[in-house]
Amino acid sequence: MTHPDIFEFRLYTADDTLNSRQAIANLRSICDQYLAGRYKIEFVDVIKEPDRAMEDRIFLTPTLVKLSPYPVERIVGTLSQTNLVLQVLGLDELAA
Amino acid sequence: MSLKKVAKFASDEEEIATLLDVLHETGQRLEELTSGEVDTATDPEGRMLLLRSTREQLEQDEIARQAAILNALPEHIALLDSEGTIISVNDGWKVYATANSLPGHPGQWLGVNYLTVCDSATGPGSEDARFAADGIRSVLSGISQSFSFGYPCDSPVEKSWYQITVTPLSRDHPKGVIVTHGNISASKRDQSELISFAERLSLATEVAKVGVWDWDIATSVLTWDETMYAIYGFPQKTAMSYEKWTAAVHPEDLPEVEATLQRAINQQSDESAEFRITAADGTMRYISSVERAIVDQSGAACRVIGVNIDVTERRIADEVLRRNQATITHLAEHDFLTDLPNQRLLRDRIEQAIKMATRNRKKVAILSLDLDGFKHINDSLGHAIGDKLLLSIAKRLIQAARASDTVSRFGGDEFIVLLPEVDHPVGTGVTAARMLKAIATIHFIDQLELQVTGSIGISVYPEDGLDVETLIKNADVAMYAAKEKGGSNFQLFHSDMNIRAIERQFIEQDLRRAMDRHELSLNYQPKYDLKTQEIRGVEALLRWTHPLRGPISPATFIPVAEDCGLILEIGEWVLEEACRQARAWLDAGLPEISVAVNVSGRQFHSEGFAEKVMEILDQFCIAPEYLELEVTESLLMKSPEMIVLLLQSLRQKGIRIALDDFGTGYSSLSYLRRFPIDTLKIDQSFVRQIDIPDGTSIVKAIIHLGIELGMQIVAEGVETKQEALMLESMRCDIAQGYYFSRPLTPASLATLLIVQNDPTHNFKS
Repeated sequence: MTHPDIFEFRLYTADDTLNSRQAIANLRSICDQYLAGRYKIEFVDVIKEPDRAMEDRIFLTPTLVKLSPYPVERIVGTLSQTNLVLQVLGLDELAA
Repeated sequence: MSLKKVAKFASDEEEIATLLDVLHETGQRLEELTSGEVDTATDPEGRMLLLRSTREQLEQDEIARQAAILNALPEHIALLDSEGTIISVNDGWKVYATANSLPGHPGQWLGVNYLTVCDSATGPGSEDARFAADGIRSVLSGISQSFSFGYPCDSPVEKSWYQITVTPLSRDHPKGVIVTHGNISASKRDQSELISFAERLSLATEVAKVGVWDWDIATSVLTWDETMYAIYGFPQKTAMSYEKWTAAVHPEDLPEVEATLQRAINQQSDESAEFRITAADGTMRYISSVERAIVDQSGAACRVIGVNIDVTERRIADEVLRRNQATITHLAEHDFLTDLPNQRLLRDRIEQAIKMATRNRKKVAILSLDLDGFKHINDSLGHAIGDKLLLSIAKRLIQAARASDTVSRFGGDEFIVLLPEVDHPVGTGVTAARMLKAIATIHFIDQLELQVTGSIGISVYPEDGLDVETLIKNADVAMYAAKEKGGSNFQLFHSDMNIRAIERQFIEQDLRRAMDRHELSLNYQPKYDLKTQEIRGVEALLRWTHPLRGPISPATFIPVAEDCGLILEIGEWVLEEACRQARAWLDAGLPEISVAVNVSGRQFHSEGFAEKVMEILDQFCIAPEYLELEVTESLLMKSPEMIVLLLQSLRQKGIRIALDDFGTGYSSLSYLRRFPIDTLKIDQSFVRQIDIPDGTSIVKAIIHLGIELGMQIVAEGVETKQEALMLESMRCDIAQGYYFSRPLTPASLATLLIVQNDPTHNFKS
């Protein structure tokens, strides 16, 4: 099976906090494992860019937003539950 | 403080407390709701809330970071409280403390009062320790804002330097201090090395009088050391710029100097230059400069650093040396008398000319000039006059030459002129003729009017030789050929001359030895009375038998002997030998016969010739009537007046004179009459033609003339009976030649004379 789509993510974090650090590590791990070569991640530090967080209606960090492919999905937390994350991202068949 | 403000304060405080409660509760709930997976929450107004665990985590991180920074420092850092007790240390301190544990306080020194430690120190560093303690106290008490000092801390292993720095924890209320010990040994060492190096360098440059300069290209500021100011004579510490410096440089040298600097900048190479400057006192000084460009991080030259050395003294010394050297070189390459180039320089120039000519496909001509009869001038007027004449001739030759020609004195009265870049050999003749004319013009020397002619021989490269020596030799050969032609002319070399010249040289060499080795001898050719067929006399003929080459013809060696002066010696020997032989024949009882001896012009002109002849006759007791001297026509023509006198005096003594080879020279019949001549000898060339009509007439005429003048007539070279008969019919008295007899050895001639004296012997049968 093929996934021609490029996955675009935006991860909202807060400085060098523990949960944010974990979220970043987990996201990278999931992407490398399941979406190798077809993903883009943009990181937004809400401490540095509070206005952007407001504009995007982000009230909690860390928050992952899947911008594409459609539909847009949001996940709050450290992304440590991989199966759940894959399910939300529409990658169910890859789940163990 | 007003009541209103108090009230306001109270309400604010309540509001904040409420808000904090709400926040606290919200935070708690959020943490629970998100299982602690969320760090921040933001309310719709954009107010961000850091959740407690997150806050604690961030604080812990910050403390850990700061501790890591402090521990990463090599300095030993301790935090002292207001009493001076150590309450915290970094890893650096721990290592130091472990290595230098205090008695009773193992480990990290925590809880130890540092002031007490310092105060109670003993031994070498104790004074420094107490000084440090005082410094710490002054910062703790707020008297000083900070304190710092370096101290030596020598371990048995190495000498090291430390610096203690004391900084208050808080600027306003000193609640404690940070004490830092840093090892500054390396920088201390670097610094002291730098200072001593700078001192050494400065001392060295000062002693060596080397000025050091540093040019900032962008600002054009020049930084000079003291020596630079001293060299240029500027007041010390005057602000210098590139422009100020260039103003001091000699304008003629400036372009080159600036070009050197540009090279140093552009090629980033070490460059050097020598130039002149006008020092502040107005004197000119020679400067030797060496410079190097310094590049910035981008690799572009930003400064040029260099040194100047005042080399004026050296330059002056060099100049004197150079001038002396030039004089020595000049002397070595020029003739002392005329200052013309000498042989050595000439040879160099010829060599160069040959190289040039080879490249340009041109020719080079060598003119060898020798003065005619210069020896005579030297001998008769003295060397002082001779030298002045040579000088005058040198001047004339230079005037007659082109600037590119080299006129050199080759020694004695011989000059050699080099004509480089000759197009055609014939053109050299024009130059030679001009030179001959120039030197032949009268020279006025010490109130004397001197005239001298020269002979020039010309050789041309490449036709007449490919190297210097051959060209000079062949020009000489041609010059001798010009001399042979009577002087005052020039001759172009051709290869025949060379063979003759070699031959000549050989003959001259060997002829000198020939007399000592008895290689010369005389043969005698009988002269017969055509009527009586009797021997009337003999002609002594010189023979040279060379040990290797056999007989050499007199026609070959006599001219050489004449040229080199040997003829005098040989001539005297011939006379003596002929007389000795005549005496021997007489002693042997043979009849007295006339002996004819050939005499050369040189002999005739030699001093005391007549006396010499008489002396020899006396020596051998020979009657003068039996000696006949044979002279040539050309001899008579040279200085007739003197010859007439000489001949007369000889004749008065009884000696007979014969005119040899009559008819071959400038036969001036009028002179013939004036000379006291006894015998006329008809040349064999006329005898050869006696049987053709014109020849007959000529011989007849000569014989008639001789008879008319009362002379005896002798025909030479008679080879046939026919000739003998015709001569007799023409009333010729005497004849000699192969028909009668070849020249004979003395012994053979003696035999012949004995036979003749026997009347029964019929010679002609």
